[in-house]
Amino acid sequence: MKKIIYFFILFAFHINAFANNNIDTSLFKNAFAIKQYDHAILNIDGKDKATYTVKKSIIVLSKKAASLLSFSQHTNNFIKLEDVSIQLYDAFGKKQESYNKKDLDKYGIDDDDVTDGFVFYKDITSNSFPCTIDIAYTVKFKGFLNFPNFKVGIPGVATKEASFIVFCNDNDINYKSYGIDAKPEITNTPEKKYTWNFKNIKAIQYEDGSNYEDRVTQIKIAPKRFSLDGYNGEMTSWQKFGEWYAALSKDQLSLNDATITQIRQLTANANSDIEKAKVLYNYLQKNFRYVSIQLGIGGYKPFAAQTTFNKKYGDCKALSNYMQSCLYALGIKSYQALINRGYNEPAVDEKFTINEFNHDILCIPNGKDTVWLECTSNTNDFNNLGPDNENRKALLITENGGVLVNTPNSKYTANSFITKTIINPAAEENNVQFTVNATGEFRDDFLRYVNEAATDDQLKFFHYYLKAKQPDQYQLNKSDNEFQYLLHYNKLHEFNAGAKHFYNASIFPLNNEDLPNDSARNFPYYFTYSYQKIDTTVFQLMENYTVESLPQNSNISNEIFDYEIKYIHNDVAKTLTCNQVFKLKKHIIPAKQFKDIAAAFAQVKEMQSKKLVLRKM
Amino acid sequence: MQKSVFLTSVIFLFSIATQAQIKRFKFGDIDKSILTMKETSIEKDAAAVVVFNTAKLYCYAFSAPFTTDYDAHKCIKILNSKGLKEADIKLYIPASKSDGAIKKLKAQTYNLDDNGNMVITKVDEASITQKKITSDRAEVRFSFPNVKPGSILEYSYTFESMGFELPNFVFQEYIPTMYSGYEVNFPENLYVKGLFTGMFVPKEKNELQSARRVSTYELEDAIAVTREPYMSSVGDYLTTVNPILSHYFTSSGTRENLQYNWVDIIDDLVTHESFGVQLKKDIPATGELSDALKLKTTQYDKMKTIYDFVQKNMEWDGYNSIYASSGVKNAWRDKKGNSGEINLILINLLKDAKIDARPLLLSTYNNGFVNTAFVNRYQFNKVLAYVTIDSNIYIMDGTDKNAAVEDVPRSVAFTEGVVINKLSKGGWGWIRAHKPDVIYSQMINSICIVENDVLKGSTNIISKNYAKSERIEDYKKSVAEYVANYYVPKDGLTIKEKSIQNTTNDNKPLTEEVKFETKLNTTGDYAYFSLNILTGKEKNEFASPTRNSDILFGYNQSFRYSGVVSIDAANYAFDEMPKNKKIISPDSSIIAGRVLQVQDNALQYLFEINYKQPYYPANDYPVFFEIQKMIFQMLDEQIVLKKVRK
Repeated sequence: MKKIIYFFILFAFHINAFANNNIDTSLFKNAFAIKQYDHAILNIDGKDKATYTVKKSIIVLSKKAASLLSFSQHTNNFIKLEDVSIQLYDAFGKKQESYNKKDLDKYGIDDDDVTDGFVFYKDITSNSFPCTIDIAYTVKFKGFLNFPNFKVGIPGVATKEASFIVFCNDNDINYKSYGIDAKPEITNTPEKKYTWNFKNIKAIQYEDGSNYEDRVTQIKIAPKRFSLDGYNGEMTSWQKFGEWYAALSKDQLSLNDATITQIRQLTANANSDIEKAKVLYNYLQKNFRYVSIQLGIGGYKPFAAQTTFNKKYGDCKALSNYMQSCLYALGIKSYQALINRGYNEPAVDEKFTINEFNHDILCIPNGKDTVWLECTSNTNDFNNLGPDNENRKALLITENGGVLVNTPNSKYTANSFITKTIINPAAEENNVQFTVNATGEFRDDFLRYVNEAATDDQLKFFHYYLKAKQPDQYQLNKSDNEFQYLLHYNKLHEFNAGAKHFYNASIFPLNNEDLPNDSARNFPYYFTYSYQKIDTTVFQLMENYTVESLPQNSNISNEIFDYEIKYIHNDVAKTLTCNQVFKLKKHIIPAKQFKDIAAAFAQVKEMQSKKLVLRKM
Repeated sequence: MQKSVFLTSVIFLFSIATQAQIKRFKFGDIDKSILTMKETSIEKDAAAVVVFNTAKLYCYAFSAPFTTDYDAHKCIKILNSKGLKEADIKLYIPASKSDGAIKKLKAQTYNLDDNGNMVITKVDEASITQKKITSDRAEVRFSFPNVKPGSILEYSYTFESMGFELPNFVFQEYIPTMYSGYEVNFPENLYVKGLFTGMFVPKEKNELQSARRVSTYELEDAIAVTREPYMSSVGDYLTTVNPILSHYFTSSGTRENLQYNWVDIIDDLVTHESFGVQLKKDIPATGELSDALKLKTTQYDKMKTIYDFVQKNMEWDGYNSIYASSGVKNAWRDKKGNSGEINLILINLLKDAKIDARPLLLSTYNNGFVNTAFVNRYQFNKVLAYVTIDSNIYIMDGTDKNAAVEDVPRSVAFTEGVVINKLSKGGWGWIRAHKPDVIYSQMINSICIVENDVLKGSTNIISKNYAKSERIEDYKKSVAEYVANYYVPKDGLTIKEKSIQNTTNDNKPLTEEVKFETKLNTTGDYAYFSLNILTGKEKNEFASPTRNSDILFGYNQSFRYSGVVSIDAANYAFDEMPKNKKIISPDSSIIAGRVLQVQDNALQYLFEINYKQPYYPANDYPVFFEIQKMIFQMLDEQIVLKKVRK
């Protein structure tokens, strides 16, 4: 009761503190911050000039939303931060801090990327909450492809009042709202003007494992015409945008005669176009490396193919462009494709042409035998894009402009983790032989973190990634996709009660997914990707041991996953075998099914944790 | 054998030897045997190795402006695909060209072709970028072309530097180094001395050569240095030489000293506008603090009142400094500031209350240990309040909202620092920020019952000193994450009720009461559970069998887990219990034990674990590792119940 009274006093204080702001009390629900106002005006003047002005005031109710007490603006040759004004007020409206542009920190952008951009940044601290931050700033564009999305709502933040106005002078925009049904008021005098107004938008609750795009309500706009560094384009259709992108690399495709000769020699023994592509991809993976260099034309123009060949490095577009050039030299048609790469990245809206791509891949079109290549990967199999590129639209850059196409759908069988363990307690050395056959993402993880890694890092991977018990002796042998661990444990069983020795059914838990403890969800839950894990563990029974107790065979199956565990005692061969199969068939759990699936996951954990009991005679 | 950097972090060597010269490598003259090298004997699983890393620091004359040339030359061998990232180079230089610039940068890659011939690919100038990344720092970047496992990368450049701060030289990095050498070549009348830090002592030679004073420093076959759990900072372990201008002789033969000593530094600080002067400012009294102080009669109570007030009311902006850059008055007015401003305010207020409070200069773990022989104020990144009352010492940091007045703040525990005794010139001394009796102390007592394959329990967790400050820091960040991390780290534990008391930084222990349930694991007629409940000891952070750095806890630690588990005798019987155990390290600095006793239908248990040292040297790690493993095995051992058949 005491807590409830305290909460109401605190809540009343919040309301009282902001009484003058006439904030609807319902906005406090699920809110760590309330935008009192958020007004943005975008003034587009022709195809390459625009001014974006923002004025917003946010009441930060608790430290949980302290990240809103900051300002960050990316700039480059085309985006300039004109002026900034930031004020911090305490709960009683007394000004605590005041900053302008000269007070901001300026950083070269990224530790890993070579870019010509800067970030203006200010992190502000408040010694008390609630507090209010007012931010006003203006950004000028001297060339553009995109404009900032206007975010009406993000998790934990309610909005009392917001507006987004776009003036179009000698240009126009396409627009679309997401997560909210919002239509602009459009006027035409003296210039075209779009106005969106919002009032009393409640905060969305954050849910672990949900997709960012699901949680944000926003207005996206795209210029119908644009120009970047003198390259003019149209965003009126995917075809037109593709034309613009194609123009950037059209002069970058040529290779010199010596390089072409080398490519021909390399592929001389290949019998088909696909075989040739395979040889070239293999050469690329073995000899080239990804280096993120995003210089010039906003980072959109690739290195010339010959430069990439000479340097043997490049970013995604440079490597795709080089690969395309090689194929072209052999008379094989291929297209670069723009894509939004990343596990569970938001889907491209085919009905709304906007540049939200972050990556460039390559497609060799051939009907149902079309080949897709991720040219930045040194480990992907040929024609395997991986789940961070699959299941989505990509913009194919064809000779006729851009065409949206589907990348392949992921198959859980493509990401397989198949293991066999032989446990021989009588062995004086290597009493556990553990063999891993991995494909897809699992193979990638092993190649990235285990293959050629220092022994200490391999052990950490074994212990923390596989969640396997730390061995007393360790040796790893590798061949192609197979990793064979020779392990020795001074104590093989988990624990004992006198003569009874308790063993795990496998040396690592097959299912190690941790789902949030949500009783109800509004958004789907996303796993990183679908997969299957299959383990066979064979115990060689020693003469002086008998099987005291075995868990029951069990299985569970639903729309999302299948799990099965089976125990086989062969008294003749003196073996005890445990077979386990876990198939995560789908990587998205719909919100309505989440509770049941989470309960089923808990059952799997219980089933796989049961012990085998052997008794020492 | 490497040296422990912890207690002997500094070594001066003034040895004089002849023929001072580091190994010279001609650019482009790469031994083919390096190209065919598959691994390094220093660390067989290394992804890349520095074949050589040399630099020559050359001063033409001791004149104004004082300039030096730093000629760097480095060669790296890529051993496998993990080492490819070594081919992307970043060099950091001053943002202003007047402070220094990189010149004569050249770089090339070496490979063997299919016929075993060496192929060289140069880095073209156009692909070298330079960009100002902060107001005072710029970055030169380039990527080596045609790089694959087996490649050799070589680059060299000259850095023309202005100013008396001589560039240090780091002999090690996060890949092994076969050879590194630094030559400091100065005019005869200018003396430089080398100051070493890190895990090894390089070989040093000093010589006079043709009116030049030449010092060389060399190290061979140096291991990689990487971050390890409970390591102070990587920088403390990288073998480094800091060349320092010592003195020079004028043309008339007069010796002029160029080196500061600590007295100079402290004297300068006590008169510094942003330090000593700030301690003499009048901090305007606030009614709230003045009123609170009026009620306090003892010095201890007054000190605690002031400390609490500063902790509660001053917001730290996240920056560490010994200086009150914006002035204590402004920070006091805004109730916000950097660590220098907040702690100089704290000292100021304590002094106003007639308490013996002095500034204590320290360096946080992240900033690295203070090298007492390296006279440089920039080694310190924090000033704290050092108070003496009735011969009791208190070390306080107003920015640490969770440390009790008796604690030495965790970020500096067991480090060395300087106490400035009086704000007139000359009064200062070194101290270690350590109180042996202030430890990390945790006691957990549980009363549990097993019914229907469910273990139900009520647990009382008492945390004192560092255990308390660590937990309340996390608790204040996020209650939800605190519950998730501290209460439900194991699968299947359901928290039914929880309460937490004394989350303020007072002397009272943090008390938590947690009621929980967890379904027992069962197999056939057996049910089993672990007594390692809510201890936070689920993961052994010392899982690696090897280690290069000292383990720095900063304080001694004591854990005591006890309780009773009752069973429903109609349905269960205790099976054979794990044996009682005692684990003692050879030097008795770690003692742990377990006592289990079954009586009727109840199991009484007690675990005790004591770490009696605030740090453990790297050389003792093999023993520490084994002891740690045994302790975790002891904690995790299961209690087995036999189900009664009906």
